[in-house]
Amino acid sequence: MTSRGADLVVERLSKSYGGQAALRPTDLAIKAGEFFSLIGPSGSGKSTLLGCIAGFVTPTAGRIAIAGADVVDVPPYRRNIGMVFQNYALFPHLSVFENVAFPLRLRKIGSAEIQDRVKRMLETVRLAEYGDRSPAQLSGGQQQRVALARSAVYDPQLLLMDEPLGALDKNLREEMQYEIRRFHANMGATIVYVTHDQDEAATMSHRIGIMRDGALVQTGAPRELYENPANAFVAGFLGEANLYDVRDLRPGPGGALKVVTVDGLELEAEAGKAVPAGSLVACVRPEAVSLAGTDAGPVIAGTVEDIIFTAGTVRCRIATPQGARVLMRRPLERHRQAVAVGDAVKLSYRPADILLIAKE
Amino acid sequence: MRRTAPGEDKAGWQLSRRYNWLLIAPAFFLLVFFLWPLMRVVVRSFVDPAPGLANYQAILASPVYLRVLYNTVETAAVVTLLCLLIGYPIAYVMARAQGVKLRIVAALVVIPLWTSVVIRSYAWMVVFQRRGVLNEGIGTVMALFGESHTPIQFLPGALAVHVGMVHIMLPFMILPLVASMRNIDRRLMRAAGVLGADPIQSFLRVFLPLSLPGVSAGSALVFMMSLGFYVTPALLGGPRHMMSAVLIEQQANQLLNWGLASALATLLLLVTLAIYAVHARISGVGLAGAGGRA
Repeated sequence: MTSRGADLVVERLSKSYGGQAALRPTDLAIKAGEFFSLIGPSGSGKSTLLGCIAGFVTPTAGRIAIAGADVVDVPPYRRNIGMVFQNYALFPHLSVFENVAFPLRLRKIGSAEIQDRVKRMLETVRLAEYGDRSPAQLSGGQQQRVALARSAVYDPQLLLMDEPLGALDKNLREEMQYEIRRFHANMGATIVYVTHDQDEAATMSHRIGIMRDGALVQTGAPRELYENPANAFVAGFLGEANLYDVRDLRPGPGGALKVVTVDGLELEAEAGKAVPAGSLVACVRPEAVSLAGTDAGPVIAGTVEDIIFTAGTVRCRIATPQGARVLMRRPLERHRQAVAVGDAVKLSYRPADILLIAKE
Repeated sequence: MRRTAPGEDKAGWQLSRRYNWLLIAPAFFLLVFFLWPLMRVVVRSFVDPAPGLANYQAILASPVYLRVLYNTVETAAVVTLLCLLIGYPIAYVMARAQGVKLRIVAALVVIPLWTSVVIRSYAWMVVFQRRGVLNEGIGTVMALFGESHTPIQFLPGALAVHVGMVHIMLPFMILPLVASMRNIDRRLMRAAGVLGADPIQSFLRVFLPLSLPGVSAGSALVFMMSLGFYVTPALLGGPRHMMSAVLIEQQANQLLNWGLASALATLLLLVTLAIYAVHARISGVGLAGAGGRA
C-alpha cells in the first residue's frame, strides 16, 4: 500500500491564452515523496501550472515528466494522478463507498479487492461507517475526506490538491491539515498542493514555490523562504514583514552598514553580506524587533500608534518621527512590560536581522 | 452558470406561505374548467347510458377498440424513444453551447413550436403524398439508375404518423434534457477524467446517470402528450392507424356514444397517471410538482 511517489520535473513550461501569458516559462523539480506547495495570489498562475500537470490545460510549450516519463501528450485519464478539488467534486449520484470505488472499478479490479481496499481507505479517513451515505448527507470536512480517499485509493504516484481546504472554516481546516499530513506520511505519494494560504503551506510542506504573475518567484523550504526571501514580494507574502525602500547604503560605526530608507529611517545592518543589484528593500520581521531594555545596540525610536491582541500574540505598530511605521510582534506572555498607545518607546534589533533584498 | 455544488441546493426555493392566497384564482379556474368536467367524464363512463361497467366491457370485448388502445400506447412509446434518441445528442450540444451558438441551436429547437400543429401535419402530408416530395425524390434518384419507381403509399400509415409526431414532440424532449444537463457540474467530468475515466466512461458513468432526471421528465412529457394526440394521427394515420383521441372524437361527435367515449378517455387518463407515477418515482417529483433533484 505504501507506494513511494514519483518525481515530477517541469521544464520551460508555459501557457498563454491568446497572447496573454498565464504561465511564463517555468522550471520545477519535485522529489519523489515530497510535499510541495504552490502559493501565490489569485491569477498568479498556480492553478494553470497544476492544470498542466493534471492534463486539463494543454501547455503552449515545455515538458512535464512524471517518474521520468514525458506526459504532455498523455490525456488526464492515463496519467495515473490523483486529484482533490476545492469543491470536492464528489459524484452526487453515487454513495460514499461507490465514490471511493469509482477509480478502482475503472481499473477493472475484482469486486472482492475493491471491497477490501475501499473499506481500508474509508477507515484511513475515519469514515468507515459512512459508506452507504450519499455525499450530500455529509459535512464539508467529511466530503473532503471522501475526496481524499477517492484520490488515493488507487495508489497514484502523484497527488494534486487544488485548494482542498478553501471551502472549510478555520477549525476544520486545521484539523484537515493534520489529516492530510498524516495521510501523506502513510501513503508516501508525491503531493503538489495549491493554496493561497501561506500559513497552511508553511505548516504542511517540505518545500514551497511562490508564484506571481505567471512565474515561479522562489522555491525553498518554508524556513529558508522566510529567512532569505528573494525579494520584497516573497518577504511580504510569506509571513509579516516591515519593508522599507532603501535610498542609500553607507559605512556605519564599527564596520557596520548604515541603511538609509526613503522614509528617512536609519538602520544598521551587518556588513560583508552579499547585496543584490538594483533597487533594494530593507526587510525586518516583526518578531526581530523588541522593546529596548538598555541603550546598547542600535535602536529605532518612535511612538506606539496601535496595539492589536490576537490569540497568543500582541502586535504593536510604532510610528517613528520620520513617519515610518514599524510593526513589532511578540508572544503575549512577554507583553508584561505593558505599553500603551501614545507611549514613546525605543525598539532594539540585531543588525543581522536587517535583510537587504531585491525590490523586484 | 454554476448552480448546484454538492451539498448546496437542499430545498430549492419555496414560496412563503404568506403568498398561498395567490393560488386561489388558478385553483378555482382549474376546479371549474378542468377538474369538474374531468370528473363528469369519469362518472359518465360508468352511468351512460345505464349505470354499470357496460362501457368498459364493450371496450374489452372489442378487438377493434383494444387494437386502437394498443396502437395508442405503442405509438406513444415509439415516438418517445425516437425523440429521446434524436433529442439527447442535440440537448448535449445545446447544454455545452455558449453565446451565439447556444442562441442558434435554441432558436432551431424552439421556432417549430411557433407553427401550428395542423399546418405542420399538412406539411408532412405534402411530403408523404403519392406524388409528394418524398416519392418524387425517390423517383428522380431511381430514374438516374434507369429504374422506374412505383410511388410508395405512405399515407395513411404508421411511418408518417411517427415522423410527424416526432417532429412535433422533439422540443418537449430536448428542453427538459437541456435543463437537467445544464445542472450537471462540468467539474465532475474533469474529476472523472483524472480518476482514470476516458471520455466514454465519463459519459456512461457520470454524465448519463446525472442526466436521468431530464430523460425521465422529457420522456414522461412526450409520452403523455403523445397518448392524447389528435391532429397528426387524424391527418396522417387514417383508420388503419387510429389512435385513441381520434376514436374518442368519433364516438362522441359522430356516433354520439358519450358513455363509450368517456370510458376510453378514462382509460387514457389512467395510463397517463401511471406514467406520471413512474416519472415521479424516478426523479423524486412530488404531486406539488416543483422540481428538486435528489
